[in-house]
Amino acid sequence: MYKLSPFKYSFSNGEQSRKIFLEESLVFKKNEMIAIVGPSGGGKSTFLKILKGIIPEYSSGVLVGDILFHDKPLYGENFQNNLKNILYLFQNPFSQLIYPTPEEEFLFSMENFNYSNDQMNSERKKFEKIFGLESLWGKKNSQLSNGECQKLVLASLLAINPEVLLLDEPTAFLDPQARREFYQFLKMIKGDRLVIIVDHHVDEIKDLVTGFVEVSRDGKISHGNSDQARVDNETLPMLLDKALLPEHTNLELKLTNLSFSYEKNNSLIKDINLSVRGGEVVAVTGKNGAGKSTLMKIIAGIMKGDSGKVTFSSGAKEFSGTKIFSQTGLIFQNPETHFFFDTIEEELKQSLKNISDPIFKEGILQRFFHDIDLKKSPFLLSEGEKRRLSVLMTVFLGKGLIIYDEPTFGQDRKSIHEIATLIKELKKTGIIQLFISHDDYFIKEVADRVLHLEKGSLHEIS
Amino acid sequence: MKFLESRPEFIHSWYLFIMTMLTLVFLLASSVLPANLVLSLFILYLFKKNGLKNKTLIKLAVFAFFFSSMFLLLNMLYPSEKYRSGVEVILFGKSFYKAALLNGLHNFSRLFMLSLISMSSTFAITYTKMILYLVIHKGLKVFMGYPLLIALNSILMFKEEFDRIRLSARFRGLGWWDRLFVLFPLLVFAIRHSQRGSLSLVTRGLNPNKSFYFGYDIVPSDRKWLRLFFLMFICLVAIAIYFR
Repeated sequence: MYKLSPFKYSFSNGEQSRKIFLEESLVFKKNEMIAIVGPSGGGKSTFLKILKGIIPEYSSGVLVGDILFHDKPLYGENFQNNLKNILYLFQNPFSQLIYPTPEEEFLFSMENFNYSNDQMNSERKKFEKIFGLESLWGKKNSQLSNGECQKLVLASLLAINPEVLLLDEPTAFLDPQARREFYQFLKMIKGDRLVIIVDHHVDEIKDLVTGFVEVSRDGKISHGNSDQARVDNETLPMLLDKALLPEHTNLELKLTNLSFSYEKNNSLIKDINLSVRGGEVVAVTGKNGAGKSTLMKIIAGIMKGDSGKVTFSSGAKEFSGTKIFSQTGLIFQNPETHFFFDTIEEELKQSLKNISDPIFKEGILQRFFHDIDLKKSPFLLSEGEKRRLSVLMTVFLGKGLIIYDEPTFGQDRKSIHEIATLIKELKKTGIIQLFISHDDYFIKEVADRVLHLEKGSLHEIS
Repeated sequence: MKFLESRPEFIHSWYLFIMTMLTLVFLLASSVLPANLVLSLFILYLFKKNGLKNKTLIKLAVFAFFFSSMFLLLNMLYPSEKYRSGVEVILFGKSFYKAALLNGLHNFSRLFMLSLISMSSTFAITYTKMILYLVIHKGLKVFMGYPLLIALNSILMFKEEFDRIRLSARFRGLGWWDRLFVLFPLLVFAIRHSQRGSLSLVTRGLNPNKSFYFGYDIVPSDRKWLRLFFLMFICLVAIAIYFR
């Protein structure tokens, strides 16, 4: 199906520009399911774009070498011919939305390939069952959570029944239940087509896939195995002892009878009571659309609850409602929201101003980014690197309450381990850390308590 | 929830768009206030029937009032040469030419109606439906219609992203000078959004031979309302010309 001769892709014309390259030939056959593994920022998404033909068709970089699909190159006229054959799911599902409503969005791909209304109805019924799409009908796309949006776009693409499915972290925003269902679905369609998937849940997909391809940190593409995606949980050097971060004492976050609803008679959060003490790390889990992000926004003081109270006390001082805002650091789902300056250096200069120790600064940068060019624009980093930068920019601001919204999205195991270690180290300063995550490994690693949000109520899981 | 077309409409958005444009042209050209008022009330009635909420209408009326008041003040404080004579009236302890006041009130009324109608229309017209109707029935090219659709639908997204970026700046404790650069990430977001949107259209296979599940058709009642509007519009044009 795919025949890849040795090739080299440079992101720009310059000699120094980053590259991804293949030194030995690769062949992907129909019926295969290939997992692309490797560290975040290595070029996995770029490799998928090459396989789709977006590169070189819609790219300013330079591709030298042959990538053949059914013995024909992927660019030019063949790109158009293969639109239906090769479908590509972007990393950020919101990037792919065209319409304001889920109904129209779901139909869009099928309409493009001239499906009749009967065919569309039959596919709709099928995917309503598989992905539980009924709960989305009647909503607006802007009201969907990331996970719901991911399911919607994925269902829309799968309804076309393509020959090749290129999936860029399709389960990143799905809750564990939805993720398992998705893998079941992959198992079901396995054998009918070629599926190439970038997914950091290697342990969960290793029995599903027929082969691995690794994209290493320097951009080298080669045959791989599941072990290459794993990392030993090496003991990372503890750094915070050297840092002069302010210590927090006697912090407490309290939620009393908190309720909230977007629509009348449809409560998203019902009568929640919670107390979190300084130094605790609390994970909030729940299905996509359960209201986790909304709850965090209310806690951060961005939104107001309909009834009840949120208080944050720091020693003798007590903050409630929107006053909590000044004590909080919030890491948004979209890391680009955090960036204001032209270079990474400028971004970090502002955020690490509370830390005077240069060795610590260098150490933490080295640990999080390896060979990063600090003069580079933060917008040019990979999604995983952007996420790590946004975490670094927020946690050292000296705030007593840090809220992370999906901190491990787009991260390989090593980076997850690094973020986990950082959170554990931050615990020493006595701050309260809350995070939303669907990553079982990460939750197990760092959370002192796990709270599950379901039907508006928060239950503690032991 | 049932799988349905986005929003049932009292009158088709394409027709409502035509009516709104004609109303705005009329309000700009006509200085006969009663005629302007009749047409404005009629179109507002259609907007309300098409989903404009009372609360939104009141909010927009307040905005339009403040905006038009500025114009009234300018007219009263700096009248043109021909209104600087005749009787003077005292208002709030300050004297104004009566002619300037009347001219200001006249302009205020026209501007109020004009701004209220133009703002309200965005809450009553479903642009997605209008564009898709034009693509399906009026030959608008898909390669023009869909980018337009993405651009229109991104307005709400820009507002949300702008709010998030401002919040992020506050969370980071950026100074007022740095906060001025809030437009930089928004600009990056806009460029990236347009790039991703166009890429999405291409990769998801947009082509001129596509089919459409929903017809976005015009129904007889739409035509009835358009005919009624044209009848009223012609009468009002005649009245406006006669009384100008």
